[in-house]
Amino acid sequence: MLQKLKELENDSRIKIDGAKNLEELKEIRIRILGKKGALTALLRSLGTVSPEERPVVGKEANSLRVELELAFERKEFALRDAQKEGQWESERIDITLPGRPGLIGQKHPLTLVMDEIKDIFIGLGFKVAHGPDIETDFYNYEALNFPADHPARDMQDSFYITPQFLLRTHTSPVQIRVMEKQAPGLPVRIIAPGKVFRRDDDATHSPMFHQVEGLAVDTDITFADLKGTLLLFAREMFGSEQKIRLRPSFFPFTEPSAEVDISCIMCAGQGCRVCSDTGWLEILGSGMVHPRVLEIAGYDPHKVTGYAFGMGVERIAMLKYGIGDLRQFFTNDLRFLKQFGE
Amino acid sequence: MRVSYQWLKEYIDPGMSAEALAEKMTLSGIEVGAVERFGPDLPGVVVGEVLKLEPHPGRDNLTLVEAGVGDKILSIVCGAKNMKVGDKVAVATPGSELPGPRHIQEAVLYGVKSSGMLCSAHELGLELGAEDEILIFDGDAPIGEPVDRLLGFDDKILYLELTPNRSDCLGLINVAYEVAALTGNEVKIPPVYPPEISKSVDGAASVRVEDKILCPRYTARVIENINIKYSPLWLQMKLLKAGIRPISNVVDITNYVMWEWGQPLHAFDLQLVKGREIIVRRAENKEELVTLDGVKRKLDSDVLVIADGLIPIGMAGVMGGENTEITEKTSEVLIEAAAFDPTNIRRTARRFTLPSEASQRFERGIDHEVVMIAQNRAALMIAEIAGGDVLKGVIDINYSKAVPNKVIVSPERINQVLGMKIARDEVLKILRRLRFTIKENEELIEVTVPLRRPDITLEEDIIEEVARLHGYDKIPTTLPSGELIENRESEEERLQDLLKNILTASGFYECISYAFINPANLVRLRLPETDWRMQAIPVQNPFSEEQAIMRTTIIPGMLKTVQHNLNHRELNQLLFEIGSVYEAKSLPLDELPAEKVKICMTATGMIPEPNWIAPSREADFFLIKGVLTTFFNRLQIDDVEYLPESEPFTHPTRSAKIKIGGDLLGFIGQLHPEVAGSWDLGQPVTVCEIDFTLLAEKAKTVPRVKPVPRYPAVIRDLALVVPREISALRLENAMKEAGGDILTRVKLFDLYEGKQIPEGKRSLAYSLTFRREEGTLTDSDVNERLKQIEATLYNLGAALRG
Repeated sequence: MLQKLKELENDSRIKIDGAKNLEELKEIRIRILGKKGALTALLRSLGTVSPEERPVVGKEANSLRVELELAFERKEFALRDAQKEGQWESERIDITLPGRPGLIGQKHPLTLVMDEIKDIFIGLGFKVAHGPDIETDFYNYEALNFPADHPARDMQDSFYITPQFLLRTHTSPVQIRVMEKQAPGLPVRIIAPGKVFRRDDDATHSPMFHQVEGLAVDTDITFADLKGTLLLFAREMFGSEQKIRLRPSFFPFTEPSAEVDISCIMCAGQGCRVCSDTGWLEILGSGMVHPRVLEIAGYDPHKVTGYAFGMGVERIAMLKYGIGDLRQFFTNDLRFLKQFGE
Repeated sequence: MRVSYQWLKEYIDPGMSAEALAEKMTLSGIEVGAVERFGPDLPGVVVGEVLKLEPHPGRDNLTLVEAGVGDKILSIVCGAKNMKVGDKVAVATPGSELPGPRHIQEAVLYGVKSSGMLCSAHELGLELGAEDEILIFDGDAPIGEPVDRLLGFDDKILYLELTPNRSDCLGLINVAYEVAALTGNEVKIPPVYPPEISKSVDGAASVRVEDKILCPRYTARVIENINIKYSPLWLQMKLLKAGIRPISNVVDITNYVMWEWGQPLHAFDLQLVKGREIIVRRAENKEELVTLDGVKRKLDSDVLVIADGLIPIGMAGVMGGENTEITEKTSEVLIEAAAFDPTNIRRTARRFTLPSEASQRFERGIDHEVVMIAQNRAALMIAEIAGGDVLKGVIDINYSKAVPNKVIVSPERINQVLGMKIARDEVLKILRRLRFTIKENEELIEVTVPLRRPDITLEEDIIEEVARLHGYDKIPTTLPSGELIENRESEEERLQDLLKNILTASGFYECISYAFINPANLVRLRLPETDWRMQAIPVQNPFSEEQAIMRTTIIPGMLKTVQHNLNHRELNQLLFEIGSVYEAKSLPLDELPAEKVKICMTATGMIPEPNWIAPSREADFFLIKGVLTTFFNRLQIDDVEYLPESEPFTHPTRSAKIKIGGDLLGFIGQLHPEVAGSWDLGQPVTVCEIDFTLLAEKAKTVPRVKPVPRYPAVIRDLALVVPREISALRLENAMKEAGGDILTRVKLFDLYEGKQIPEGKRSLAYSLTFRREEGTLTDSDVNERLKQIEATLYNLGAALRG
């Protein structure tokens, strides 16, 4: 019986393959699967099979039916397609034509970078804070331990509005504003993105640029915490292979202070034109909050410590996107802006 | 600060190359910006001796020189006249190379063969001597010696980029102390005691300090029988390495000692000091002084001067006066070594724009003890080099209260702040290498800091010293732990991000323009004087008129961007900026201004850009209104009104003021053609500026969701012909009123004016959606309601189109 099934299968497949049109296929189908068809007849003779064999043969016969149904269907599709060949050609589209223009703009590259920085630090448990662009001498300088007529003020040439008011030269005043408001509450963990202004104008300096300030104050913040935070930041921002290097430096409002370099992202630290063959790129300034600053802002420097850092957003964007001229950020040339996604 | 590596080695042996030292210094806090070779290689240029001089047979102005260069004698035609037989000179032999570059070959000059060239200092690349004079070496220069080596061209110059706290390194001795702290090696102090003659300085000169705050210490020595001439070459070369132009021996020595000790000095021609008297006082109003640069300065009582019995002879700490300048005729000098008030010097130097090497050092503060050391060192060198007789004694008017700082340090706190373990012994070792005096007091360490490091006053300063010399690279990396901070991003912050997403999804590109603008641009916007936006805050010291006032609107900055892009053939632009404008409460400012965040949009050209498949339309009022509608829908703000009012710079009949619940949000409008013209915008531009803060106030950022309708809707279209003066809003309101609660949506899907429509009318086609919250609507329900709507519209003057 199984043998007969096998023969029927082979015979049927040959017939299905050989069908020349839909009518012929239909006839073949009736002859095999119809009420008087070959398979039906075979199934009827199942009674002659021994009771032991019956389930096996029955199962085979049924699966053959299913398979043959599928074979008929496939052949039918093929025959239908063949019939329509001429029609397909007349409906052909030119797939090389451009797609419908999507209408989508893009955020400014500085926003993209600031968003990325914000996201990293929000993930680390920092809060976003803001301060005014026009600041008082007190917040911009005095409270940050820049005495009047001190050479440290030469580090940042200011735009003045009046002797008392100026355009902030860094985002550091936000440190004071936040601490004043929160003192003596702990912990303080903020980042403050924003515009800053200095009297500089060339290919690497713009009279207006952007910084992101960071500040953490608590009972036990350490210099090692600062280094760890910045390493993590560098890796999130520039890739997991990044190394950082801290160099001692000076800022009136931090002590100890450090300039932070990352391994050059152009040459992976091998030395190239971008990093002046040093293998390192300076990206930010940082340090432990100066005790005088803590005091002015309302904290007891014997009981709390803090770290602070500040980075130039343009600098990071230039490194990240390979931008050569800082002024491009503020010309807003669409040929520039569209490169960040159109 | 330029540090010659070879010069530095006279005070300490770093035990490493200049490059290695630079790296080490940079990593420990004294940034070395660059290390450069002092001079070029001069292959083939050697020391020669002038053996014979003869006139050139054909040319009077030329000389034939025979120069011995060791292995041979060269005959050379030379244009200079200052050499004599026996002089040691720089000979560029044939095949040699000079800066420029210049290749020296044998040549025939006016019929005479010349085998090389005698060089001036300039030809060797040095700013030294006259251009037409041959450089003459000291008599002991070895013949045949390569000149680049003799002149120390192979020396390395380290360019220190000093932070304001480390101005101690403006003197080589203190740089040596820094190197000692890094290496543990010894500092060698040069001799500082001059030989004195028996004649006393008392009687030869006197000093009176009238302002002891501005001049806490003034020392003077008198040196007689001086022979003013050029300094020996080695001294001149050292100054050149420091970047200082050599002048004459006495002046050069004062500069040399300044470079060595960081203490500025000044030399007066004592015979020109009237009454042989030095008075340190504030200038009187209207006094004048011609400074050494030849400029007449008008003085007043803010300026500290050095005066003689009659008139000012120097601007203290900034620049000397021409009237007592050292000249060839000078034979008797008074050397000033003093300390002045840093702030006063800084103000004076800034006011007269006279930043000098001296003022730079004074304004950062100098070591009051070094004043005397430098005084003596200079006297010693003048005696040795300029042949002077140093009078006995030093006049020393000393009001200085400078005492070494004492700082108590706890090694435990060092570790606590740094977040690492540094052994007590290591801390002590570092402090000793710094040459700080240490007294151990049980757990604590009492540190006495030498006067050369006035920057160290607190325990934290010592912590930094320990950390930097131990090595920042050894600090571990950890993360702060602590309590959770909630609401890490404010609602406003998130809302701004949401709006930026809507804007970019609508095709807009974000711009960032300067927060300061040109005041003329507000006038070009035709704003009347009374408009608050004209009351912009001026910047006191802008770079240019372009950045002279703080913006009161983002529009001018955006128009500049639109113009820039149109000029570069970007004709289809959708732009936005979100940023602050500055509103003074009063002018001049006496309190912080309000900084208001505005959203500014501009649209121009065809949107989408003309293309083969999707229709493009001119960017207009309705494009931006569409974006605003998205804002309002997303933020669930529904009480919005558009009023037909224009701004002075927008089209009188294509503008609107936007209000939310009666509060003015901003405006939207096509730019007035005149204004567009004055910005050279050759195509219509639509602008919009709205207040972000008000929007945020009215916004519901989290959408409230209603259930999806359960019963089917019935949709009917309605085409109307309406007089133009009937606004779309009136029609819509009329339909909604007549339609009642079952009319859930009125959508305009077509608008037509022109052919087939009577003059003064327009055709509008609406699609009306009817739905009941509970139950299915029947045809007769809808028809009945539609009749009422049609009747209402008819009363408004609308005709139904079949």
